[in-house]
Amino acid sequence: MATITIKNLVKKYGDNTVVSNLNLSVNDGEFITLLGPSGCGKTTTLRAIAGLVEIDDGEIYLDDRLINDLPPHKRSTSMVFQSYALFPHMSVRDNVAFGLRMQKVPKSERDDRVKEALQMMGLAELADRGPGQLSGGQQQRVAVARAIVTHPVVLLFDEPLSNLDLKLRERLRIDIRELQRRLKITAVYVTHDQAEALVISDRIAIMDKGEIIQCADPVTIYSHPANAFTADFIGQASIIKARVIESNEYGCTVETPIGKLVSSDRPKGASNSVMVCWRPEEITLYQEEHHNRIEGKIESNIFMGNLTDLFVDVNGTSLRVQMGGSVNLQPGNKIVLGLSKDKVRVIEAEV
Amino acid sequence: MTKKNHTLTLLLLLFPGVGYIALMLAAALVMTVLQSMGLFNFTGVSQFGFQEWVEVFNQQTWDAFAYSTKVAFASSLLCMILAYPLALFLRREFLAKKYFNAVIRMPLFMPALVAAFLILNVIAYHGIFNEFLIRLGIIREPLRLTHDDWGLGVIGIQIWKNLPFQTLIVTSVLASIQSDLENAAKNLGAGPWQVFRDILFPLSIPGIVTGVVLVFIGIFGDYAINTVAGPNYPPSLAIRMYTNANIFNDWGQAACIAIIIIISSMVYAWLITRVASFATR
Repeated sequence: MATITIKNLVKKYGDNTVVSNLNLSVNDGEFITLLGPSGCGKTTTLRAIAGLVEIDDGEIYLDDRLINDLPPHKRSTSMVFQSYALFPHMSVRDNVAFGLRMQKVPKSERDDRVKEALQMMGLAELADRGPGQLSGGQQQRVAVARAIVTHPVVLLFDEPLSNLDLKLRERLRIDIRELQRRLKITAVYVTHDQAEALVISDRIAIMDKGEIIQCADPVTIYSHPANAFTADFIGQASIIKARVIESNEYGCTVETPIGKLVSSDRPKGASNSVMVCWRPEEITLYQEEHHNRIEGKIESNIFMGNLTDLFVDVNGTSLRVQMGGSVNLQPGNKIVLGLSKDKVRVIEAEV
Repeated sequence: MTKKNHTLTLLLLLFPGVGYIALMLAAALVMTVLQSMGLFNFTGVSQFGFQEWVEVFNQQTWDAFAYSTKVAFASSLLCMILAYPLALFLRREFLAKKYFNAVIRMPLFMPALVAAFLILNVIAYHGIFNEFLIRLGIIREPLRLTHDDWGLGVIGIQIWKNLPFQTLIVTSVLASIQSDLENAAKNLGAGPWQVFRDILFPLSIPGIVTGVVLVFIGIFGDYAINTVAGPNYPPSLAIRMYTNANIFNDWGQAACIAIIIIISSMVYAWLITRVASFATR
């Protein structure tokens, strides 16, 4: 049980700055996810917490203790690696017992705790096997058992599920989440998979180019992205350039290539040049209560099973719309769409 | 193209490479075996028989065999013991590492005989090393470091010559161990020594054994360094083989010793591998 506070973290590899001035605080027992594309510095940040990379500047605190200069083996953080990193020359049991052996836990207690951890992860029958004899999912379970058996104050996950297939991924991320809740361990989770981040996290920190650009709970991140990057990275988003023509305390009206749109959101900055965004599934067939009426022509109609992807031409701009089930409209057909004003989010224009 | 034709084409395509090796290796081996059986005698009457084999197992051959074995084991093991820490050290980044690496690899570019001569100047009876110690008053008589009965000079030169090679092997073996394994061990509370003892060392054994075996075989069959710095008696097996063929004109005896070298090398290689795999179980 611990809090993590990171202040102005900087990490460079030569001239390449991978993490620049990163600030983050993780509450006790919280599950926080660092989410971003590859190369955004999320793994480096995680490894800095574990002490596996030397940082160039900044401070990392575990509770109130500055741990910058603490070697990794004294940090009481347990990490689950993307590559599993199981010791190939040891049995499952010995892998899980490794951390306890390093802590010099007496043999009888060690055996009990290893057994308990293996049972918790559903691995009791595999204790005497070698890692090479296990499937990917089983290997990652062993890695999780190995990480929790030492009773760490912080659990760190470095894209633990990205080498597994979809079904297993969906199953294991729920298992990991439940385990973390049960053990009440503070957890930092790194992934580039936005669906995973939404399911598993108390809070998501979106990272880009070595910085956290938005940090909030999953619902806020999804429904109120602070910028175009977040909107685009989490789920699907239609983002278009807009010019503010009127703004008051209730919202604003903007001019866009697809016509005038009203929004209940307001521009944060002083500039009139902004962007507006919404989710493709938030556009529906027009109804009275919609504030925005959009007329267009169907460009293409792609049936995806649970939904249909429509591309609609509006004044020369292609607009993506997702509707549930199948839609009986052919390319060339006219369509009248509606978008309610609280779905239109105003975000800062990209510089 | 029929299937039979296809197979023939494949065989013909393989021939320049595999055929050459097979022919040359087989020809050389068969010749040597036949010579040891009294056939293809260059200097006397060729007659099939086991006379050469009865003659070859004499005290001198045993002495040479024991000597070669002793020197090869001592040098290759010492070489490994020295190479391992060096390879661990080379994993770190430090100032001018590039130049340091270049310097320690120099012996790789020197033929054994040249290497032996270089070292000989230093450790000879009246070489720099002895003169230096006498000048300092540490010893009164020069130490016999070459041509000594124990083959210490040879062992020294062999280590000097093979250390870079062994270091190179250990370095690449250590580099092939996934760095996350080391990270995971550290993360679970293992200090530097424990990481070495529990992770790096056990995982590096198979690769290192290969290195030891390669170095061992080279030293076991050495001729050059033993001629320059070896004891007057016993000779190494290779020297004894050469003497038999070119001095005594006895090619049958030489062929027997050649076969003894080949078979012993294989048996020792197997033995080293077995002992290592047994020790790590």
